[in-house]
Amino acid sequence: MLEVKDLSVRYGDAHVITGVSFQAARGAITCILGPNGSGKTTLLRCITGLVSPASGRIMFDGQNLQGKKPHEIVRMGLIMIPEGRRLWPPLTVEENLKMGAYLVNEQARIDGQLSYVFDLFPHLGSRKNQLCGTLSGGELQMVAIGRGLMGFPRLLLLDEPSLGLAPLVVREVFRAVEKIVDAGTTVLLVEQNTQVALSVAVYGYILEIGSIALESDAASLRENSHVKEAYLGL
Amino acid sequence: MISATSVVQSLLSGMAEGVNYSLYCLGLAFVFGIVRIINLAHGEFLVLGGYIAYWLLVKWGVNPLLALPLAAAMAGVAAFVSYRVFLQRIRTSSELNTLILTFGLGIFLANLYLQLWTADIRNIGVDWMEQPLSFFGIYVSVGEILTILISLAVVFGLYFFLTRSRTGMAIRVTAIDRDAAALAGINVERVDLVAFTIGGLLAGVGGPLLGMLAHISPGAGLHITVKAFILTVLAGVGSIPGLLVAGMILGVGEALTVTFINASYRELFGFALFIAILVIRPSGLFGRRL
Repeated sequence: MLEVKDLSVRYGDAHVITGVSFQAARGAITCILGPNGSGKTTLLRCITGLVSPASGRIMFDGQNLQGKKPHEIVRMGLIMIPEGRRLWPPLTVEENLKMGAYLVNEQARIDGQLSYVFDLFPHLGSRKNQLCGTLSGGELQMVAIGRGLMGFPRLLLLDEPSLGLAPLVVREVFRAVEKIVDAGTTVLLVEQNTQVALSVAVYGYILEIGSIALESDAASLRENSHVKEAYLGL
Repeated sequence: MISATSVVQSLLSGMAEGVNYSLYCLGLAFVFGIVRIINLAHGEFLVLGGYIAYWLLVKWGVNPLLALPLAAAMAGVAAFVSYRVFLQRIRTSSELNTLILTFGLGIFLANLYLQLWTADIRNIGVDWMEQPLSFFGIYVSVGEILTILISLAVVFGLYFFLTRSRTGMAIRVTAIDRDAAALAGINVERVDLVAFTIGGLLAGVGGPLLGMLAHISPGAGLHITVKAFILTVLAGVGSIPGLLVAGMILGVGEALTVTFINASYRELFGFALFIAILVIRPSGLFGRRL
């Protein structure tokens, strides 16, 4: 569904990403793992059009994303939940969610999707009129995912959804992600939490210093000695 | 002689003036808060609105109040063209560039007005609006009451536009977090253009009011821009209701200065206030929230 080929990104003279290629298969969770500063977030910002690549190609559903603006990419059904949630604190939960449906015109579809999000995260229902500035980290992440879902994504990019969350909350968030995939949305997951990511993904890539160091199906990555040592702490 | 009536009179006219100040500076504050451009041509956009009303009045006898929509529209067009043709190209470079560019634009417009409408000072008052009404010895003109109502309507109108409408919300969330807005599918570059144009519309509404209450001249714009800048700093960037309060403070302060000290210290009050705020509370009275 998403195919990235030989992608390179530079900030000035600094090569952040060099020659990265990977794919995200339809209907499944693909994960990209790697330590801080390996270029994961830059990679996602590039796919979503916030940063332009120096070279390489990004194909989404057979269409080249080159030169497309972020809002055009969103319209195609590729939606990112950014690292650190990036919600709008002065807005209520419901307002944040509804802004996620900015490009959706039919009120009925918006309402339907809103109740889907509240079904997925029953927690949020009672908080819908609360300002986002007053929520806990886990709730914020749920609103962030919900906001992404409001735009009817076909491919959802998740940037470090587990960041700063308690283990119990992480599990809750990932159960929801699995439900989203079951409902037909493809997910590309970028994580530092290797254990959780490999437990839900079918295929994984390891990004180190801006290049893909390793790729394999999730089961063999879990058994890989380099991954075990460097990422799982075993 | 200072009597209770003269105190009340100057408080009231100060508040009236203050509400109109809020309107005069609304466009500048709005554009600064949303697009992060300090539009030094703001005053010239406002004066353009005033001249449109002047033209309609002298050519066809149109009441300046009826000229408001056209005045706003023309200033809006001026802002749209300025942004589309010039500002958009240099948006991403250093902030100083937008400052220099809008300053130049202001000079150009002021001189254009000089060509079109001469250097004469114009008042576009209408007789029936200058009729004073008296309440217990306090005087207020029909025009003052009308302009206050219009100013309040525009300020609150903008507030409701930003908090209730789809486009308004898009503008607001773009100002809060630009990337997050882009990722929600909002065309953030378009938001910049729309916001800058709205800034022009808002300035355009102020022009006829200024022409009715005082006067307009080709060089009046810079004066307005400076005042708008003082108010924006006083209110704190991004606070629209705060602008009303800041406008009142400036208006009342000026009126009291005129009544109790000397009319020639009037402008000094504004600048003293400006410096005091920068020293004591640089984020303004009402912080930064939108």
